[in-house]
Amino acid sequence: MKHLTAQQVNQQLDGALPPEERDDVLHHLEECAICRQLVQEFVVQGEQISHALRHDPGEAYFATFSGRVMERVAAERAAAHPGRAAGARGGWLGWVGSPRALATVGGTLAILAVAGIAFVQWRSRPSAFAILGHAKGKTAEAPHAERGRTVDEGSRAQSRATEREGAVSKDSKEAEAPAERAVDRRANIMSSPGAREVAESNLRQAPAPPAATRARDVGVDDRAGAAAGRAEPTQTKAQKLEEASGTQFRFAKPSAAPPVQNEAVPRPGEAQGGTNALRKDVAARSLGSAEKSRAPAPSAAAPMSATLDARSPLVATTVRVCGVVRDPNGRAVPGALVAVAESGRSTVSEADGAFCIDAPGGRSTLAALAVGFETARIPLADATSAEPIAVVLKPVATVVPPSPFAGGAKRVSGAEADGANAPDPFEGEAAATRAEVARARQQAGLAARERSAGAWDAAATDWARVLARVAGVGSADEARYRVAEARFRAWEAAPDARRARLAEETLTSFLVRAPLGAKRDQASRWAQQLSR
Amino acid sequence: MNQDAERISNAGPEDSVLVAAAQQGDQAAFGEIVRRYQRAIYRVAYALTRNASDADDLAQEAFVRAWGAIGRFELGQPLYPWLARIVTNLAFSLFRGRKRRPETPLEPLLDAGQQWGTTDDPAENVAQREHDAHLRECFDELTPEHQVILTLRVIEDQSYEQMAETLSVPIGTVMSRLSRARAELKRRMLQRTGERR
Repeated sequence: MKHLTAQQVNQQLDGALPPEERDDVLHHLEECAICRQLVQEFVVQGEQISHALRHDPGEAYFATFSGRVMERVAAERAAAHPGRAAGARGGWLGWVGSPRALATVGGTLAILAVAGIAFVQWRSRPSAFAILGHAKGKTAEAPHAERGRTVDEGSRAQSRATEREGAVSKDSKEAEAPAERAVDRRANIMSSPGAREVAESNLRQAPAPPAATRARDVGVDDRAGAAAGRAEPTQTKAQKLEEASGTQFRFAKPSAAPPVQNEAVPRPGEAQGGTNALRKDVAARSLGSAEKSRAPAPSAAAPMSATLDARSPLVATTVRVCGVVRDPNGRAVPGALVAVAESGRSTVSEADGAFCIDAPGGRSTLAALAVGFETARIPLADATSAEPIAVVLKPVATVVPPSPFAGGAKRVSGAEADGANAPDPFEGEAAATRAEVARARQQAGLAARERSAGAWDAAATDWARVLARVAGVGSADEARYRVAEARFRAWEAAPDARRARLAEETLTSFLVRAPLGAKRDQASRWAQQLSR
Repeated sequence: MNQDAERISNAGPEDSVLVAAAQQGDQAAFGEIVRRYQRAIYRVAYALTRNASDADDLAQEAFVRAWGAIGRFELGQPLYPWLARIVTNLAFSLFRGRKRRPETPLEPLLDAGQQWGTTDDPAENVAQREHDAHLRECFDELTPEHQVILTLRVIEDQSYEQMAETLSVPIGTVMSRLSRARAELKRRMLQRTGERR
């Protein structure tokens, strides 16, 4: 007897026997107990599996099951929709949203950041730059132009800042020193005791900013000051220079020095003060990078200035101006700093007082500064190289140190007198301004008698009002000095941080503009006293 | 047990109508599909995992995958084998991920008395539980293919054609695989009870 095959047994179990086999299988099962038992065992096995592997989580589970699924479906749809949308957009739009695109963009930005940092660090190394500048000469384009512009700005600032100092010494060996040597040079420049004190005081107040930044700051700051005080074309040129170079000059605020308020000239679009304290410091520094046309050692600044000049349309037409610096007795003045205010170029007179300097075509101003002499300013209207310039420097007056409360210095020699003997600097001002002056003087006298901080504060306010009204340079200097004096006295009477800051600001505002003289010396001493 | 009867008892539109609507983004239609097949899919999931938590995860994931692939479903084809294929494939993936067979769950032991322990004889209850435990262990020892074919046939009462559709294999393969699975399970059960004896 032939038993059922496994397939027939399974088909019998599953009700899947073909019709033609069904009768034969059933007949065999009726007769074969073995096959019948086998089928029966599988039937039991099926029932046992069904029992053992079945689990009913309950109706509550299924009542919420579809809801849970649909929540996930909605979440998946929301999450997948942007991807599908991106895919539907295709092309680069789809690629932009992909992780690969983000990785690519991130990597590119990182590379750019590293390159930028390396570039900034390279630029922040002046010595290396100077070496490179010498090596490449005019072939280096942008960095030289940038540095050249900085040098020119600094030189211009220096020339103006030192115009009223009337003191300079020649030290061409340090001409190429960019920053730290300029500090030493500054000591030479500030050969008078008062100027040296100011320079040291300012150095203490502004220790940190890089030389390049300072030079740029001074350039702008001085331009603004010059524009307010006397030279409108300078301001215009400064704007042109910024536009031409695409460089926005900024003021670097020193960390240690509080902002210096220019009470006379509020400058639109910039914070008042903050750099005045740096002016002389940077002006002195910038001298180290000024052009030395006849310096024996090649300067790092000179080729850069030349590069800028060659590139800049503003100074494209230059005229070589030569002349001799002499004193009133006709003796040559060696070592005098001769500068063109508009271009910032400067040079130093030789032993015979001779000098040559490139001046921009058209109207410009030649300034000569030397120790012991007042600054001479000569307009160069349509100057040509065929016209030698005779620069005559006037000796400055010598002074004796005044008493701290003298309110001024007494000249013992010189052409001008100060204090009680001096003419009223406000004499040429308008009547309203003179009325303000009278009020301020009255208040200052009251404050001097009372020696109260409040009275000096009021006097400072009155003098500041005068300062805002005055038109002349001399009267502005006088008003600025009076403001500084009142602020200092107020601080002296009641020292506090606010009065110290105001005194420092006003003193610096005066010092950066004031000519050499007793008042300047006095202000320097006050500034020193403040710094202590 | 005729699982088709359970599915047919769900009143409402035909599967093809629901699928067509779901393919157009109608979530309500897909929700109806879920409600219609949730018990069947859960049974398969549980039979393959023997764990309520895994079964829940597997069943939900199966429907979510179905939603994602509903656009590729060919209208006119039976829906249930397609859903069962999804859940069995997920179970295979789960097995491969775990590198081991599913753990013996506690749920059948805990609720055995609730479901089947209707007898008043405690000794018989204990014997039944022991037998079920042995059966699950033997079932765990089967290959996934054998587990699935037995699940589809015994638990879900699928026909050969449905199983062939679900597993994407020929009917002959279904028949031979089912035959070997039954024989293997029987051999293992005899072996286990013989050892016990």
